[in-house]
Amino acid sequence: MNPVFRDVLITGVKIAIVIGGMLGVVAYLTLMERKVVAYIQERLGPNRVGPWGLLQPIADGIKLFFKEDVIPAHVDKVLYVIAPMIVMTMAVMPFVIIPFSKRFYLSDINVGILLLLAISGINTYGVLLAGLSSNSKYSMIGGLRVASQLISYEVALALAFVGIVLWSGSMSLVKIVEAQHTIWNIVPQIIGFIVFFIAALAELNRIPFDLPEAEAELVAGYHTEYSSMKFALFYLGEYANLTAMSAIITTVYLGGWQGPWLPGFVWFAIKMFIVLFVFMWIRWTYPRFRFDQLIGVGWKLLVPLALLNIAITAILRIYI
Amino acid sequence: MIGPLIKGLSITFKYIFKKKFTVQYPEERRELPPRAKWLHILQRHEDGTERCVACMLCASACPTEAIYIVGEENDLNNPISHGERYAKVWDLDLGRCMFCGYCVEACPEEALAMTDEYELAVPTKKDLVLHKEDLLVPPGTPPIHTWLGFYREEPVEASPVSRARELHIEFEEYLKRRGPKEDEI
Repeated sequence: MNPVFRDVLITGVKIAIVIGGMLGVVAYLTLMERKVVAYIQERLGPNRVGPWGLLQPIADGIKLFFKEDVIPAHVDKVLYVIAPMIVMTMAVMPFVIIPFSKRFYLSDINVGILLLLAISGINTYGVLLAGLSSNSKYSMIGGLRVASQLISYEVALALAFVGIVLWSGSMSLVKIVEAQHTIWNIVPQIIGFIVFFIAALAELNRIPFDLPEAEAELVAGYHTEYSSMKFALFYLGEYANLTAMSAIITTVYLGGWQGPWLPGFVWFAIKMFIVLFVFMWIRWTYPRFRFDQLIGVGWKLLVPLALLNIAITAILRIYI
Repeated sequence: MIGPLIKGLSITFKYIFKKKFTVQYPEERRELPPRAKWLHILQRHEDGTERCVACMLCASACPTEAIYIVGEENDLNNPISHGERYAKVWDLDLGRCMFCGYCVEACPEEALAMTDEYELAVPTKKDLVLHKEDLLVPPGTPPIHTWLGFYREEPVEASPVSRARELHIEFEEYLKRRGPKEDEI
């Protein structure tokens, strides 16, 4: 067989596995979230569609697919249609460089962390464009909040990444995971981890930082005017972002696929689902921040902490 | 700052393992309290005759005017109720009824009672109107004693109307026994 063709085929199959698996995980995350909230609130959660509610995401998907796709007359049509696509695409992108096990990853880029930051930057555009193009006050305010929130927290996120890069000596995620074979990054980078985790919560627009879609004030924030599959794309994008962020935290701080006895992929999945559970657990425990508090936490607490972390890491790097 | 945050998380984590509050309705049902006030029934005497005497007190007491009664004189040889009259029509509009139970309180004959039958959904508005045939219990059904409130477990000697009737019969018998007085003739 032609070696070029073989490489393309293998990569294609890998991409199909990653995208398909990720979309499956994302669909079932909606069920997991509903189950977690139900159990925290002493309820049972969805359990009518299939055993233990396991077919619920499929039923939801079919429902959303057959809903009427309304494009309101007052929107900027091109941007309105593009926005959910940007969100969904950018949510799937990080999986390109995440190593799922020792051998299984789509590509090993030597500027992986920069790519992650770039993707998360473009993701902001999707949400912002959705808010602006909807031409409605709720979407507008939601979009503006997204812009200011994501830009502030991206700084903390990037600075936390700097600590990792200093400690591991590489920007490639594969190398970062390999550098953690003696000790996970969470131990030497504990300040960085806390900063990264809080910034990740804000990046994902989740409680306690879900101001862009604060339903008490903004109906649904930037996706107020969206319906049917376009709404579903935002929703899936949100959960895909959540999955991606959990995968990044797992890779960067929790040793990725490294772990004894079990195969690497299983360790990766276990760690990722623990992080996902913590995200959900936090969501159903804390109330929402006020907007000035949110920006205040970002600039006055997280950024100085991240800078401190960089300084400590640099000093440790010299003397150890 | 960290302490309260962790305390909050530990509380929500504990709740995950608590017993769930949900009642899985069509399969499980919550037990209703003994005084549950749901669907009305029209009761019968032990001898199978109807208790309702069409006195209209329930219809007058009803705040939403949900009860419609047409009374008729009893055939003395073949009485349907113990009183002078019986209810020829006894309709209850559940679309209007608010289950306050005033009708049951007003009923002097313990003819009306409320049961724990609460699944009252029907497909059309017309079906919400229940007629006497729907509400009347079959003969021999154990009675629900509502008079003097819902608390009573055993029947009192008689309801006011039947007690009055008994007194009247006693008095007639007394008159017969005594014979006519001189000044009454």
